[in-house]
Amino acid sequence: MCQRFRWLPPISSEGGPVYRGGDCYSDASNCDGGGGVPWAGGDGGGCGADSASCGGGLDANGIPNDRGAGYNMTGTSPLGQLASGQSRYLSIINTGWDPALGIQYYTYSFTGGDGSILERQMEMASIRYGQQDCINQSPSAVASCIQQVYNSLAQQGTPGMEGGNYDFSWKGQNGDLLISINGQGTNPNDFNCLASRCGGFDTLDYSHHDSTFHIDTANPWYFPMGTIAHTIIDVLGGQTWWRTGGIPRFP
Amino acid sequence: MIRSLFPLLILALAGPINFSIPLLRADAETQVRWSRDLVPDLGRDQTGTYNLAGIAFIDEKRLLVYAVQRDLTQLSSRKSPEVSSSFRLHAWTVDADSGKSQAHQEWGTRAYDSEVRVSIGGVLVKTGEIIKLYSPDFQQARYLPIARNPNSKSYTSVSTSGRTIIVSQYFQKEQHYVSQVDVIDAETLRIRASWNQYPPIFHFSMSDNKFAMSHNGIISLTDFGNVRRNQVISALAPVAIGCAAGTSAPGLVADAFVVIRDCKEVLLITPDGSSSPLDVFNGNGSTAARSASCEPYNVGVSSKIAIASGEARLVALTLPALRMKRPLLTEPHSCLNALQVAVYDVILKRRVLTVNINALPKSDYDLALSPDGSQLAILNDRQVAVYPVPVHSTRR
Repeated sequence: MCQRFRWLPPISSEGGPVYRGGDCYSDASNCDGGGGVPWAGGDGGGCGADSASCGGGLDANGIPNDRGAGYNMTGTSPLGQLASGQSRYLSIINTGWDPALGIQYYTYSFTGGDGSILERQMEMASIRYGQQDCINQSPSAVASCIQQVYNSLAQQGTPGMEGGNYDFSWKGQNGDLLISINGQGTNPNDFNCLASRCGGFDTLDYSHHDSTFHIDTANPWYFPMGTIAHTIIDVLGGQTWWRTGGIPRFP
Repeated sequence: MIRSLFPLLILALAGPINFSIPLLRADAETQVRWSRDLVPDLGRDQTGTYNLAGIAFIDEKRLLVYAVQRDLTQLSSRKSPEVSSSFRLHAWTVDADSGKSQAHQEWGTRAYDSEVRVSIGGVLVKTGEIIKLYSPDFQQARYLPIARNPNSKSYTSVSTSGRTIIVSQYFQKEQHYVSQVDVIDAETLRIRASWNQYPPIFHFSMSDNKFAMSHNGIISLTDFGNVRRNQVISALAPVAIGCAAGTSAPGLVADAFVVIRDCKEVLLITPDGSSSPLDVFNGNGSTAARSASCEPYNVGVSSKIAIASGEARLVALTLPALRMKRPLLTEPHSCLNALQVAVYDVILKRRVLTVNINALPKSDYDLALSPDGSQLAILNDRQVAVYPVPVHSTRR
């Protein structure tokens, strides 16, 4: 099992940590291999993936291999089985997606952070947004995207909170795109998620037409479990119990 | 006996009312000095997503108005190294007393990467990744003496006094995303300090010596070039940062004060950590009279803050009033019901001017205070209005 590395953000020598931003990692928690080695280096922080310990993710030049997940059934001949096994292997090491078992091996997590509900919601929002925008890219590339989303969100100050969810802006008052990934402004409407909600649980919700997005516990369109969880936690809980404090998230 | 006490009783009841009248008058809405449609139609009928307009005072007599316009007659060109595209950045120098245009200049630019700021060394213009300092009549220009990283994205900030420029280049260094920060003297263009900032920061509310940051309710001051010695000056309670309105950006006033609006009040914080409320605020919903319009609320409106650059210790903040909608079986949401600009004197610790923005901005919105604090300018979509600011303290 890959070991998860944790790096601490810079600590100020006076008055304690000020900006306790999270640092994003991917974790191939189910892959075989030795201890994971973060691909990031430097003086603390950054965003990394444990893909190196699982045999891939970067090419010989250290450039993220952006091949998408794919799986071709090539028949039952020994050669075909070999090819399908190789395709599955490439999919796992490049994207974390096992097409045979339907499992997403790579998970992404942050280190550091102050543990506040705002911080956790920001981290979760960054993970879901980065995964959607950089879908089918290598874990290290996705981790990089997530970190860039986080850096953009951290610049926004404290966003508004409604129904227990902080609403992060993807578009500014002037119409400028606030979340930049690899130098390009991003727009969640390009994700093409059904009803502008991505995923069944820990859903990225940008359906409110106010240039913001937030994370819901569940997608109401995933009937019945998603509908029930969304109604109880996000709607009822968000308007009562977690209305002022915010709904806790666990990225 | 009762008859003789009756006038005293009336006076006692009327006393608080009499005392409150001057306060109400001091806060009352002021009359606009002039108002004009200075910004051209920016082609909102096309997509409405690429407009950028703003204002800044060059001095007490001149106001700078700028906007990005899409002009399809301008096609790409390779004749000059300047940005060539159908997006044009326009800047006008305007007489602050009358609103009449005095000078105009335009540049090719990118859809989003345009910035215009005023410093004592001239008008800082960023078009794409080209940054130049222009004379107020736009006839002369200087490049900033910074080494450009071709893989970076640049952001500019200018201190309240206008004496200091910061260029922050955001890029990936090894596997980190950092900001390469250059602090430049706006007059001599000498680089005063340079450092790599991690975590990255794009824009700064800053004096000539330090900048203020706010993250998750933690407000800190940091000396230039000494980023590992952040000084935490305040930590807002979670209940003070969790509301529909969000919080404003911090505004640093002359190293001595930080002004920030949270969910409950407008706060004045000093570097020693003491804070005092300047005003109350309801971030969870409007108490103002409901207006017919209710626009989508973008928390970026609240980040608009203006600080007088002279001796007057004035800060102008944007106070949104929201209407909350809490349907039974769907998620609650809010919309912008009304908008106020409030000007505070941080020495007197009170509001000295209130401007109600009657037509809510749909795209562009900005505000600026003149250096001496005597004028407040507000850009609301195409319209620019200038208001006189009543008497205020000028003590340091």
